[in-house]
Amino acid sequence: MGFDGYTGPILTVRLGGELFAIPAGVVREILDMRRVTPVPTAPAFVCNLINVRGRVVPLADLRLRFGMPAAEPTTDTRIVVLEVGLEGEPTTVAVLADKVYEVTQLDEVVSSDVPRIGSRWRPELVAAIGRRNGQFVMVLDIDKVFATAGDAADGRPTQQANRASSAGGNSNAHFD
Amino acid sequence: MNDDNQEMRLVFLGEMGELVQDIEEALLQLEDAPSSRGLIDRLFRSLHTIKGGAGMTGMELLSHYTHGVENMLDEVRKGQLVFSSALVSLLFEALDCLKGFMAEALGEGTLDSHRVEESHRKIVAATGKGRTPDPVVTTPAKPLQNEPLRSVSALNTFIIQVYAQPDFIPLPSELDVMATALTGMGQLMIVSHDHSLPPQGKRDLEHFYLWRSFHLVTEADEAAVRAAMAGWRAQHRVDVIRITMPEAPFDQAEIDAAVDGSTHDVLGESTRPTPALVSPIASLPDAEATHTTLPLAGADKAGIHAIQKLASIRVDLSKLDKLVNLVGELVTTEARLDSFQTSLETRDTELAEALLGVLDDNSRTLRELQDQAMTIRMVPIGSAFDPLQRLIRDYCHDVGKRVRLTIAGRETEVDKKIAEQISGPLGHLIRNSLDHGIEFPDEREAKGKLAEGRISLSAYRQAGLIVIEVHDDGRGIDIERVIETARQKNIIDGSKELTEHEALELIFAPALSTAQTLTKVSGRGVGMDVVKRDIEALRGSVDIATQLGHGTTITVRIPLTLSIADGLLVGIGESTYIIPLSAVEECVELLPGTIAEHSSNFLDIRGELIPFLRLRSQFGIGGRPPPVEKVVIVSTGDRRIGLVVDRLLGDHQTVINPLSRLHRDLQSFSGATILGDGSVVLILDVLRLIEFGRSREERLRAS
Repeated sequence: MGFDGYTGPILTVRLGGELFAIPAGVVREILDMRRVTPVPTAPAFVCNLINVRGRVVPLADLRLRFGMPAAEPTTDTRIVVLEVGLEGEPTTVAVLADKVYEVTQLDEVVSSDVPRIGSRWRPELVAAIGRRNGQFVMVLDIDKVFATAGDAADGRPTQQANRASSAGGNSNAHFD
Repeated sequence: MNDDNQEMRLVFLGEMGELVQDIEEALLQLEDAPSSRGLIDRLFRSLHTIKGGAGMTGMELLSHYTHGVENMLDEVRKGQLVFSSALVSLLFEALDCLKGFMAEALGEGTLDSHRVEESHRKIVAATGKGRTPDPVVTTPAKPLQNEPLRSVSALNTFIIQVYAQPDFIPLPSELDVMATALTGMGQLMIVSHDHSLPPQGKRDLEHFYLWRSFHLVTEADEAAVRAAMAGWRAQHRVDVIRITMPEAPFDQAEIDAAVDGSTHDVLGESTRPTPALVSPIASLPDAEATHTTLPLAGADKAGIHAIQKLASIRVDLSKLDKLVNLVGELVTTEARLDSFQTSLETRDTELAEALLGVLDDNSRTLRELQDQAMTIRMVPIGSAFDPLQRLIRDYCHDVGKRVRLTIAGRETEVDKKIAEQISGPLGHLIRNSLDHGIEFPDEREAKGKLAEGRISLSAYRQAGLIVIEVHDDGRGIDIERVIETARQKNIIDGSKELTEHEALELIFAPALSTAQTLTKVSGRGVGMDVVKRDIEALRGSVDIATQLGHGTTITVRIPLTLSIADGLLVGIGESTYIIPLSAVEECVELLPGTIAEHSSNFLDIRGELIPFLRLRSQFGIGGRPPPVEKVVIVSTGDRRIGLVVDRLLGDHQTVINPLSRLHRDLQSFSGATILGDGSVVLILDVLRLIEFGRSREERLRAS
């Protein structure tokens, strides 16, 4: 994804105390918080499923992806449904946002070269940094956010999954 | 070309696909039995039908080419040409050319015209010299596209329908005999098969049943055609309907008119039954049978119309998928309606009762719709087996091994997607058997085995699964050597003790090959891991059983359908899961007495030890279990595991949503579904859970 000089519309959302932006082109719809079904043994980042109009869609918690602690949903919490490419396969996924603001445009792109040091969030998941109403906005590289989501390296397993997979790492011994 | 002709060509190409397959089978068999007159006749008939169809659908080049091959075979039939292995090779080349023609016409590839010319030249050269060239042969090849239909106005076209008696039991050979009588007369197409012949015992004595119908284009006249069918008239009712075609051979209106006209003829005949018709009936012991009347005009017409709408149509698979998905959505909506009905019961009993009736009717129709939608996607698995025969032939030819392949259960029906995706992994398995399993003839003889190796491929259904077994009688797998190799390649820890099952599982590890030499076929260490991955992508499993020196059996199990299944809802704490009902054997209570005395990991069910798994701890679900837990015993035929849950919640018709890429690697779940209340529920992957139970069982036995 080339976000150099990204001028397309974006959806601004809050995660923890930070302002993030999702390219509006991948956003399908925004939903209120609803009942979720936990997926035992799945990586914590994507350990829930939701029903979106009769379809089963994985729900990702971006806070965990950015190394922030999980949070209880509030009245502001929203689900943003996205259409992304996972290994070339178009897939509908949903992400949690602590608050959704608006569909807008960046006032300016500050840097498409995200500094690797000094970032509290993971720089490889950010496509560009821009400014909007005087605030910094991090434009997410959505494909990268999900690209390695299933990897064991990234899967901080949930508590329940921990127990299930601690004894055996490989697939044969997975249930031990 | 207009649409009708285009459609006709597509129908022909569909049929040609089957004929080409038949030719391939016959050729492979001919190698074993080169003198079989029956097989040569079969080849000849298939080629002849292709030639005819190609001519009728304006594919002149194909018709011309096939004619050459047919001529060569005709000389073999007449004993003018000796059947040799060189000839078989020519025929295999011809087979590839036919496939090329088909691929091009279907837009799936381009025809290698050089290869076709070369093959044609060789075939003509092999065919006897001094023969007067047939006029068709001298026709210069023309481009396939925009070719006007060949005029067939000088020819007669007949629809021949054979109605069988109620007590008739068809034998495959009977069709052959009948077709032989007709193929000699012109271009024959079998239009419909015996779909309308109900099984013996389900037939109504009042009716004759349409068994076969043929489409014959011939120079012969009606009397000659009737004469050719004389043998059949003794046993069956045979209708010969002549179709007149002034311009296009397949003008629908013309056929309709001809068919309608003939219907009256048929009825006219029926008022004065011919001796041929009466005699078999009169000879029936049951006196009532003599009152048998011919079918009414309506029924008869329906039969005729059935053959006009040809035996099959080609449908884009994506349309079928869409249909199946829509049915799936209906099933989901139905579940929601059911839950509304349930909540209505407390408010308005009368209305709830009435709604229940409607829902019941609806659900019956829906179930039928769903069954139909699913069966449309079902195809015999044999289509996935066919390429394997050729693979074995070519391999043996190249390497100098000898192998006989036997196939059982090729008619077993599976989802089209499975049939398509299983072909690759099966190819790998067969290559593996050929390369690592089957020994060279001298080595086999030295061991006291038959010089010719055996590979058998069988498919059958079992408990909601399709099971495919690939067995070879080769050298088997040397487990010690597998372990040694795995250690050398650092695939396993040097000191780890392995059970036999675990050691065999190593075969599926990437980069493990125990073959001492590399061949172009397999042995590069790629393959078996790919096989496992491909089969797991179909939610299936692979098992190996081997006996050193005697052979190896690989068993592949795949859930029969990929989209809809009946499920058993179970509850654990706050969570709900679904277990595919087809795998459920029984449900028992987990009482202290059911746990085996010496091993707390096993249930003792009527003296049999069954491993069990507490899903509560497996899935890390908090809370306390109820005083008496339930055990759902699931099986895949010979293997079982007990799954411990809190509660059984009842049946649920499940539309399986595959998990996204993010969750596809999970071992415990095969998919998810949506309940009537809109909640998402995970479906347990029984095959994997059983696999787990087995590995634990083996470890316990080993210790």
